[in-house]
Amino acid sequence: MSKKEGYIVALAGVPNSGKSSIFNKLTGGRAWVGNWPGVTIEKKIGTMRINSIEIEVVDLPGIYGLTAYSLDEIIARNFIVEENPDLVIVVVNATNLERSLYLALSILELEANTIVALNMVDLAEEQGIVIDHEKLSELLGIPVIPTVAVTGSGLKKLRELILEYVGRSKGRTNIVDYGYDLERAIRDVEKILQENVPEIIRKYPSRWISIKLLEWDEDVIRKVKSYAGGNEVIRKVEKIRAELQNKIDDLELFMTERRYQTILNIVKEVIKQTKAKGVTWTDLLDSILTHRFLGIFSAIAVLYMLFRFAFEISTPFVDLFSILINGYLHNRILGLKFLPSWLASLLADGVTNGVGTVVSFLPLIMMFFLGLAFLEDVGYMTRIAYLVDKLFSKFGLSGKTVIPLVIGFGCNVPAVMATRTIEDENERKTAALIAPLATCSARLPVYMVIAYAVFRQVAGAVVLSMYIWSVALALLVALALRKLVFKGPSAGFVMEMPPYIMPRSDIIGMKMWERSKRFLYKAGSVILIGVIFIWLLSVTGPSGFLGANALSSPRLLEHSWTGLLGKAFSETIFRPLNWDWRISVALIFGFIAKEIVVGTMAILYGIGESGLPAALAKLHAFTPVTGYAFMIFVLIYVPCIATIATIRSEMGSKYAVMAVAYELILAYTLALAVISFGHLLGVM
Amino acid sequence: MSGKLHASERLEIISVISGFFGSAYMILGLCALVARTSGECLTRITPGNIGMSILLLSIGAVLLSSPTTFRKNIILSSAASLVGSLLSITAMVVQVLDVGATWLDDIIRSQSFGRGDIVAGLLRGDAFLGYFMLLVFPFVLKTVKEHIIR
Amino acid sequence: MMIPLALVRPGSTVRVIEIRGGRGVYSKLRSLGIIEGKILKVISSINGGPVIVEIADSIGSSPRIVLGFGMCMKIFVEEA
Repeated sequence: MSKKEGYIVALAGVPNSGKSSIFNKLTGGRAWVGNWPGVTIEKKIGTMRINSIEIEVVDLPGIYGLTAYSLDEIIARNFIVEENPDLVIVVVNATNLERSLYLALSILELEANTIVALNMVDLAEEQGIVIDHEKLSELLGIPVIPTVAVTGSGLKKLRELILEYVGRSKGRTNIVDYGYDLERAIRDVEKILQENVPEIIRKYPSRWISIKLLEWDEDVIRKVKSYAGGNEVIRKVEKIRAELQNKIDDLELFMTERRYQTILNIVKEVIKQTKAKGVTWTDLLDSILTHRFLGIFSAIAVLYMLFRFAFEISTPFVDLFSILINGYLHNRILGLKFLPSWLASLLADGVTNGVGTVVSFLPLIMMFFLGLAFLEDVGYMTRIAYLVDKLFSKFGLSGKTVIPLVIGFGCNVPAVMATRTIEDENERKTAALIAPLATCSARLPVYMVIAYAVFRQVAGAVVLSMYIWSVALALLVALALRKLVFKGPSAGFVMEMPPYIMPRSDIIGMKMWERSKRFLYKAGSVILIGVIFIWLLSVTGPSGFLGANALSSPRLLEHSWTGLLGKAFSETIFRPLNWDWRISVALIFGFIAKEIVVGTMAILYGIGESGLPAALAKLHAFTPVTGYAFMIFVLIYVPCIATIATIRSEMGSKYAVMAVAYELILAYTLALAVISFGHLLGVM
Repeated sequence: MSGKLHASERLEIISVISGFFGSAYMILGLCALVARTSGECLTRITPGNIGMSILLLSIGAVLLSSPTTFRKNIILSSAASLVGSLLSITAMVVQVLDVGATWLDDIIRSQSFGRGDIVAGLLRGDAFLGYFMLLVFPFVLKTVKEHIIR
Repeated sequence: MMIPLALVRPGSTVRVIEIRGGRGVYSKLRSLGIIEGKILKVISSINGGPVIVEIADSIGSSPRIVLGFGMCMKIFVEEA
């Protein structure tokens, strides 16, 4: 160790190698999440402390190799070559050594100071795979430590190794022997580099650069060309490649094969398979869960139960929150005599009621994400992605899109963020733009109120039909976007399907909290501002300040800016839809967040929320046709400003505007279509 | 030889049990649909509810595939018993939790909640059949673990 | 006989003969260990939809890989 402070350790590994568990165990779960420069791929940084030495741990994206074809892989390798971390820990999946070693070899070729955490040795042993880690260490020439991240076994030893190895420099390795012809070519290219661009080999390992040039790696070619004399190098490499191609027709394939050959030789020496492969639990479960019919039945049952679990069992907690915030807290603030009445109203009617209504959905959101995190952790969601892929591919999406969509049924904000995991750019953007069409939990109460007010006996079926509309519209809009905006062929669907595992409470808890946090954050930021804005418009009107009690008095509210705006809407563009000004106001408020719609209607009709369906029915506020049109409108038009803000931060303002525009147009058109259809049938 | 025969007998027993319960789920699922659209059909244990009908029919289909595939594909058949009983137990747990949640909610909002509602909720089809599946589940798990997993 | 992976019946074991397609597709498959010469076991598939494969000649257990229909039409295999 040469320096005392400021060490950086990078954590690399293939997907499903338990890298996140190791990261969490090393850093104690405290992580700072940001983005890699210029892209929306998540970058996680945590700190660990060993013997009062602070070490920064950077979690690299889960990758299989270090090629230039995938953004994740470029990010990882650029981090290693540009930032020169003091140590790279490669997390290797012991149940599938071959694939993990490909990444390990690629990192070794980068001449990074590397150690290996041989993870999931317990699972491997269960499957009858015994790995001689000392032999592996000898063959790779770097330390190898067996770990079981979930239980924490081997982690102490790993920390000791980190402390011992961090900051060491690592020399040249010829871990892969590319054969006589190629090795000679590599040496030639190294010489050319030395002569023409000596600066580059002071910065990057020269063997690695040479190998990548011979592989015709576009990112490295760009790097070399950026130096003076770089073009000369590329011309010479082209000549060497041409000569080589007389003997080897596909250089890239040949080099990959040599790497696999090296891996195979290593694997043969270190692995003892003690049991023959038999029928595993995963085989057994998958024979049903990925079955073309039974798998779909099972998926329907599982998702239905997830929804019941979240929406029905959270009811008492949602009600408790709502009573505490919108009842107790609201009244307490109003009762604070030392506050001027306008400030008390702002805090109580505006902030507490508005934000409180959103926050009282927290139990529901948390339970939904708890169930979903469970399904993800045991490995079930990848099976659903497989089952829906054929259907989704007809709409220009891959099966992976199902995960953000399902998240969207809870809350659209984390749904938009979850589209990050989709590799293909066109597909990712499409998914982010259709995610708001997933009817989030906040829209359900609106459907319920209208359905029970107008449809009574068939209310359940009408609410269910909204979910069907939601999925159908999401797919159709996706198709339109793929055909008109995000054109281009699909990159091809490739997904690893890990074996089922026992649920791990710490990971499920963390995943649930990460998503729920985004929901809470949405309530605390954009929605807070929106709510204050709406409050301001409601307590003032053309005649000035209407009084703090405007928000609880339908009569006063009618003369506020909001009321006038509602009337302006109901008399102009909403006129064909036959919604009165109160409904229009509720929709304007709903632009901020759908959670507020029902509450607003309750205020404007001057009744409590629980009596709202009965009152709406009595007042004939809706006919079945205008009611259904209203539900369709609520389903489609902007879910909440927080979702739009998220689309903006993920993709830029242009796409946020596009999302709002298409949603408003589609919502209005379809609502109008419902009305016209009603006229046609004569049910108005 | 006799041990092998014994194994296949045990596997056959679980597939027959699955078939029996699968049929029960199917009947209740259809009833829930009938009760929803027209008239009465075992209304005490199946309230008319489309979602519940779909759930019951889905679980029924998985369980029923156990006896129907037994001769053709023993792995699929025993997997159907296993997955079907897991689904059915989960459905039961969700329903029981729901009864608890409704009861709690009524306390919070201080409305009356009759003992009868609790009993009716706990005896609803999806809960009721789940109790039985919970009883046979250890046997299913043990048989599958001993005779299929290698 | 060489056929695309998409048309292989579940349960069969096949050898990868040729991968047609852009370098992106190529390298993605390679890094997953699907290269020419490898033996794949087709676990299950949906007609006209994705296919689940396992690399049959790897030591240790191979995780399953789902390949979309388009991808499977680019991977040519023969009965092994």
